Amino acid sequence: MSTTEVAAPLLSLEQRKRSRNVGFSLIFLALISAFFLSARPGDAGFKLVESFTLVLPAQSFAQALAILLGALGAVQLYRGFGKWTNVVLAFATAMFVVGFLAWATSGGSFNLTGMLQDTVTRSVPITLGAIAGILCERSGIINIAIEGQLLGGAFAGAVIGSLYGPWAGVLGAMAMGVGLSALLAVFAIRFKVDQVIVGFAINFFSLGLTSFLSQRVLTENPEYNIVKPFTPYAVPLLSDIPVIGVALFTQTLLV
Amino acid sequence: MKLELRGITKRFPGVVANDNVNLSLNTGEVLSLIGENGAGKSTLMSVLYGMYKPDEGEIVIDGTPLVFASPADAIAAGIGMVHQHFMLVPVFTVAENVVLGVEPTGALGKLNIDEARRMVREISDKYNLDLDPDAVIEDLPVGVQQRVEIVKVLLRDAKVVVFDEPTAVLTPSEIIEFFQIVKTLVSAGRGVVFITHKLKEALNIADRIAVLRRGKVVGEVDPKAATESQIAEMMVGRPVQLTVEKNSAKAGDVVLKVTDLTVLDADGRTHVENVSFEVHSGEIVGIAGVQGNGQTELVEALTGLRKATSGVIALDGKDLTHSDPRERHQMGMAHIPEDRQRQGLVGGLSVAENLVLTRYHDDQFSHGVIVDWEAADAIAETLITEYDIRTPNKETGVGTLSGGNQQKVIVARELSRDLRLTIAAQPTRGVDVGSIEYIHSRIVKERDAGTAVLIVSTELEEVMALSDRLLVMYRGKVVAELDPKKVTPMEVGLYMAGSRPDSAVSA
Amino acid sequence: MKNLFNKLGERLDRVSSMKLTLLAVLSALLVGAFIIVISDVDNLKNGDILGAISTVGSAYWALVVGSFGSLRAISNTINSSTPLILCGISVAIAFKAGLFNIGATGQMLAGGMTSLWVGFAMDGPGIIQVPLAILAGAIGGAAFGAIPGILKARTGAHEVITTIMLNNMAAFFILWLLKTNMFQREDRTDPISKLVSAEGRLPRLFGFMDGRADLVAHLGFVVAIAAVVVYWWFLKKTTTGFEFRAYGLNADAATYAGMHVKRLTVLSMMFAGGFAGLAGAAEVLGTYGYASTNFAGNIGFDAIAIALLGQSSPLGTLFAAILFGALQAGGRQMQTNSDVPIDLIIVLRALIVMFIAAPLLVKTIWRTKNATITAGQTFRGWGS
Repeated sequence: MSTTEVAAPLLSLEQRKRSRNVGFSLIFLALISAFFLSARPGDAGFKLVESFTLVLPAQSFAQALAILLGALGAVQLYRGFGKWTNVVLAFATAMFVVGFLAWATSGGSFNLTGMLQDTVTRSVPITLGAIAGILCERSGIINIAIEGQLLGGAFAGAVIGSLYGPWAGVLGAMAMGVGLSALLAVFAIRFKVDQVIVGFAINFFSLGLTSFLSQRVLTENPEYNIVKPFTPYAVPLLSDIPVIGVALFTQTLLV
Repeated sequence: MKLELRGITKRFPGVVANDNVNLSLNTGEVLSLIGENGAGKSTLMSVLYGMYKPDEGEIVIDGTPLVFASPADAIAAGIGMVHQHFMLVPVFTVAENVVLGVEPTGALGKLNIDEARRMVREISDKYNLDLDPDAVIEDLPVGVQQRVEIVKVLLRDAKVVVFDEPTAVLTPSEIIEFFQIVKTLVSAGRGVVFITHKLKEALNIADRIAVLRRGKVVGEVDPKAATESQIAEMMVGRPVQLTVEKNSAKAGDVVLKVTDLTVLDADGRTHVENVSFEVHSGEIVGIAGVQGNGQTELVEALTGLRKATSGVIALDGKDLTHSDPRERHQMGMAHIPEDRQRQGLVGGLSVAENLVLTRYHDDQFSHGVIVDWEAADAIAETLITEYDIRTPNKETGVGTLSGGNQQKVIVARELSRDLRLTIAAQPTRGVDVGSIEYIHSRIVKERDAGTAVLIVSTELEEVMALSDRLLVMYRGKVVAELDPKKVTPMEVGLYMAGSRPDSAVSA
Repeated sequence: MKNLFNKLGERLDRVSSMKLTLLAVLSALLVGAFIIVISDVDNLKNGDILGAISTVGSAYWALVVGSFGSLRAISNTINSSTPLILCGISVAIAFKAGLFNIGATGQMLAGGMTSLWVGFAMDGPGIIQVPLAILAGAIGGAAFGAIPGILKARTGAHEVITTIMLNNMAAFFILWLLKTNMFQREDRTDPISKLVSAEGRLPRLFGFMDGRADLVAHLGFVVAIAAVVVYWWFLKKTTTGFEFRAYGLNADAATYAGMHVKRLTVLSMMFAGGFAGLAGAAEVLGTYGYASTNFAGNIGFDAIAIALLGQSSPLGTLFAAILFGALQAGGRQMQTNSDVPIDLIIVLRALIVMFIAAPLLVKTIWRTKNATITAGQTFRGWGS
């Protein structure tokens, strides 16, 4: 631990590396836009609200996108965006996704709002899993078993939900998740097993057990596997905001 | 309060770490526990602190036998421990570290940081510890960090404070401050147990000294009457030579020439700044300094483990500045590393395998891709005998050896080659007195055979006794070049702390 | 009396590793039995405990019969074990160097495709084509394994992440390759490859027995055994093997000793990939004779369990792989005979891994005293 300091450089090595990587990523996206996304001619229709459909010419959009991303990347590499780097990155990624969607649906159209709604719904398990991971990382624990815990929770939720209704299912799922992580904790702390190994083992254990029980019990007794799901609920007022409102606020309670 | 350890026995597979140990301590006195590594001091303290359960015997406090199932019980009973390696969170403040685990909370469990700060100030003032509760740990010097550990212990109302090798990381002046603190603690009615291997300090501060050897208490001495050699003999079991015997050096040509060496790390911090010096064959050059002033980085740059930012390192005239460690080995450089377990040895491999760790690729031990294990084993047997390495056999895992024997493995491995330069960093850190004597004598022998020797040590006594010329490092620069025969330790201490003997106002 | 106990403890110490392994397997089987019983909903509904327990009996008996009970069973076990042995070594050799190779699946796919290409591009003679194809498999796997190795050496990218991602990439790349003209079988539209020419197939071990075409065990097993020997020789007798061992146990000491650690990182992943590639070659050239989308399955994770079970030692990995192969072969029989789904095997494997990795737990259950505990990390963790 040296006590001498030269005039502290503006950015640490870590930060310089990261900003360089961001620049390269932008250029990379620009190249993809230029060569792949501009390959399909045609117009893409983004249905936003009942009445209005935004039409984007896929090819031109992709080409414009390529130029924009290239420019952003060049600026990033040259001097960086400093505080705005994350904002620029988010904006660039969003535009890229739009370009990608335009390419994918060129010649047709699709329901953007519905897709957004779907996106939010699908991102819930990933988000929850990520939060679990962050919590563990913060306290220095490596939790490889998140997938196993998710799976176990899903299974428990399905079975208990079929028997006792969706709310019980949620509680059951949580209990199962807790149980599996308790297993992880006991093995890692009391029996001093390497956390990564236990994590993998629990993943397999969960996978095997759920498949096994699924086959053995659920196929014979399908009444254990029919859950009445939650219905989407529209938050008054907020869900009337066009596009975003529906996506974010007309969702099930779990979201 | 009276603390007694009665008949404490603790066994591990293959060894009896503590054998019927009887000790007692009253509050208001300082007991110093002395012993080599492997004597059982650390185990005994772990038992006292509730980390191990004794196989036999009991801990008695004020006449009542107590059982500690975990450190929490020990803390509740009034035992506080200040470890050698501080257990502080570098990015937290003093107050946050002190209350970690016993946080004062308000409604709904919210951390009451103001209360924590008040508590820190209260204890700090009472014991003259002079701490700022909002200072961040990683910005504080080591001596101050130690005081934070002391406050931690006092906050939990420790009646007995155990210090494990407390002066290992302090400068001479910090050591004097530390002794003041010990005296304050004692006069405030606490008891202090002071584990150390530094005989001088024990004689200085302790009211009683207990000597451990191989798990048994071999005796208690009265510091007022005992001498260092007496205690050393009790520690080892035979008379030990505490001073280094050497003739004056016959210095020859320049072997190592360092010119304007600067080492910066990846974040731009300077560790070594424009250092230049030479080491001649047949002389020992010592570098003194408190841990953390660039010596580690200097040695790493010299041995190829770290990139030098600028400057020249030349061995026998050849520029080695950009060579990798193996090339430097092959040019005749040997390195006895400061962290023997992390750098010098591979714990999971056998003694024989470690003895060829830096030589397995020589023609002597390998033919192309194949390793000649027979040759390696033969050399291993020779070295084990020659260097008196205590091990059941050469296949034993080197990690099971005592610190001193592990260091002997490294010394044996490095010094048994043909060398031009030996760099020894902290060569006797954590090593028992008997092995220290041996290692010192081998280093002197190496010098007399014509090798250039560079010693880096934070143990002032050692580096002053061994060196023919003494350099002092402070904040990455060489701030003094001294003749060890002509300066006093206090003067060197001042250089180590960044001041100069003539300009300092005696404190 | 105490002396006797201590002596017993010391005896146990010496055999303790083997004993612990056996006890771990036994414990896993017990838990498995428990799971079978409590999931036997039909029998339990009728209060027929005995019936439930007999299911366990028939299930486990089927396991035994299906893995070793007949020549056909042994043949199946041999075939199941072959890729497991090779991938087990793949993971083990990486572990020895301190790296966690989760990419055995992708490396096996890569090796399988390269050996496949030699397999259908050439048309004999077998004595040249077969070794060439096997070699191609090793090279393909090694090249694919080099990627995470180089990434780690150059940029510090943790191999756990890169290998998992590369697995996915390999799988989809194979999917695409199997639809290209070069690889796809002429008369098919689904992703299935051309057939390996007859001369290029690995000969069957029991080929000398007429009329027993059901004995599918092939030469891949011999390759696997040879790989174990090579692995042992490499670790014990070569300089690089020594460097792997030192680097895996203590990276700092390896650097201090002058070892070229970046090179070691790449080499170890290449070797690991090579072994896994051999597994791919064995499956493509031996078991199938062609490649379809996922001939590697999820073998990567099984391989990890095997390496852990065998503690990355040559013999240990071999036996662990054969155990898993037996479980796999027997599992199919178990599913047929006693209605217990083959997924139980997955659970058993997970349990075995957990019990092996928790010697303390096994000690507690079985009350063995003084068993040696092998604690510590198996590989270098995140950012350390």
